[in-house]
Amino acid sequence: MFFSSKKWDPRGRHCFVTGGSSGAGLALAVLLVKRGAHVSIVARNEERLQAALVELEKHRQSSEQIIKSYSFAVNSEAGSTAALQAASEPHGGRCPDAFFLCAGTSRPSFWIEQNEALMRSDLDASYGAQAFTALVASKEMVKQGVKGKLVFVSSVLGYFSIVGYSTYSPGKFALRGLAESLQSEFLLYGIDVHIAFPGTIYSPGYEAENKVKPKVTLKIEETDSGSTPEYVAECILKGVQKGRFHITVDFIGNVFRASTAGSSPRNSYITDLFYALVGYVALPIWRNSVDSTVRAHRQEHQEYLKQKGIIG
Amino acid sequence: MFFSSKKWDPRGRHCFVTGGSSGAGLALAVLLVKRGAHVSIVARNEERLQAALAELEKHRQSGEQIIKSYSFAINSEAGSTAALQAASEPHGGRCPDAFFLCAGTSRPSFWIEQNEALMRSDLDASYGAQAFTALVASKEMVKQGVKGKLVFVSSVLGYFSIVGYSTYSPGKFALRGLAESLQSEFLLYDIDVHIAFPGTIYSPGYEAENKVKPKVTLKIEETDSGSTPEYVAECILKGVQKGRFHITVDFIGNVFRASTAGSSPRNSYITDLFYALVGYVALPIWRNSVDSTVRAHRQEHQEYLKQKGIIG
Repeated sequence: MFFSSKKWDPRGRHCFVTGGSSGAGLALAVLLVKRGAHVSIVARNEERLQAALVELEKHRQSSEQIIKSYSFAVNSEAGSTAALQAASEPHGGRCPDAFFLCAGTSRPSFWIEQNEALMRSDLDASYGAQAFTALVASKEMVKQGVKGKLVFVSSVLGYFSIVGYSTYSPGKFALRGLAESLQSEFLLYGIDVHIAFPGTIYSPGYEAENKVKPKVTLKIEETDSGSTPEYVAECILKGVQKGRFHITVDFIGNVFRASTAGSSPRNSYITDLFYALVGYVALPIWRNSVDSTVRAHRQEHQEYLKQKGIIG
Repeated sequence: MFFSSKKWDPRGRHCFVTGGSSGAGLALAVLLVKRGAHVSIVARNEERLQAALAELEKHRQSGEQIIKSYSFAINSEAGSTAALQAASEPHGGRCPDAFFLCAGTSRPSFWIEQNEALMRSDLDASYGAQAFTALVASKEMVKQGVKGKLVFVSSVLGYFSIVGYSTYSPGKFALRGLAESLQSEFLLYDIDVHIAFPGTIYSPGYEAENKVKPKVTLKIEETDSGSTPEYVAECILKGVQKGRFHITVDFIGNVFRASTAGSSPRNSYITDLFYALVGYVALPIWRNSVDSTVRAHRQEHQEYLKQKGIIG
């Protein structure tokens, strides 16, 4: 399905980046501008978009590049449609060639403190933030006969989950379910699907999520190392250029990718065998230690529940 | 985490079964009644519930069994709360010991014919149908100190996906994401989590979904064999009794389970190694043939799109 000999080149292509005003989305937009692409960044906050646009302009390679920012909430079909129409306008109505769907936020929490509204809004923040844009982009690409690319950004928490992510992992797993289905369905149209599974990204989003993260989750993640948004962006673009379906950014991502692949097209069957065997041995050991950390937290958690009035 | 020596016995336990008036849910309810459990079945349609209740009564083992039906839409926190309260009432307010969340429907379709409303309602029908009941059940079990069981019913389409399931697989993958997170988090409460991944079930739901399923999807599934609701119910109960986290019902389910496990606790590391190696070799071959079937459908699909006015 993917041309292994011919790398996809962003030069001269119109790239539409949601979540493009901060974190990995902004880093990706900067990278694409550096590579000569036309770039449209989309986000909600007008101030952050303006600051991002200034940053993008610093990396302009040629005056022909169309570099724009658009303020829209893309977690709805209407918002995504409006954003797409606005972005296509300077291009004579032609829709973008590649959609980098980096929008999404994480709000870790304890499951039993949730309610329907929070569950729905967290699902919107992890799944809805990308799925409706994907719908709108797909329809337009098919209508216009553009053999473009759809790039989802899930998370390693779309490969596995632990305490604290009960309203986040469903959305990140759901993105994978969508990507798996579309990867098959888009063989009807010649549209490529990619999905990235980064781990911790040292971004404003990460700072925000750590403010509310349960202590036991922070404890489990103590020894985690993360990546900079720039590094994640490099990995994502490289993966897209090489035609990779699942894109991971570090060793642990590779291990999870290989260990959960099932029937998802693999990038390399030899390399994956190595990572899968590593995973087969190492992941249960890691999992046991995670489980021990959770069990050790029981007493403290019971006190937390009493203090919150959840139990007597 | 699971006691391998001691099988969980439904006798005398209160089992709450959503989607309990038809298909696998009803079969599970019948099985639990046969094993001496108290059973509450929950669904929306009052007529079907009455017919189901009559069926359950035929299998009553003792006069002490409390066998009831409740008509509620449980794809909301409010509906699930009301259902749970009603079902707990004959038990002096004590919440059920085990929640078998069998509710859910499938509506296969082509992605580019969807819109936000359909995407949301399909996500509700696959994820929401179980997630809100899980929330309500969890909160009540923790509050009452009941060390119970939560049993989700996903699908093999929560392990992989193909053309036609772009609004169904996200929900089934999301259920897995939720189960993975809760399996970790519930070590804080000693509540067990199980999640089943059946393939095709020869049920009323299956007939309904085939009426709308895209031709190319039907073609891919041509050679599939399915299971009866009774067989699926037997597998689910056996899996719960044996303390299995992921529960599969056939060979292909086992292969997918083993090939996508990642860090999910495995039931048997030896058996899984066998299934994973089978999958490593066989799944890419199967996938290639699925992809070929989709590609071969391009021409017909273009005509379909023209006829529907989606392309010119």
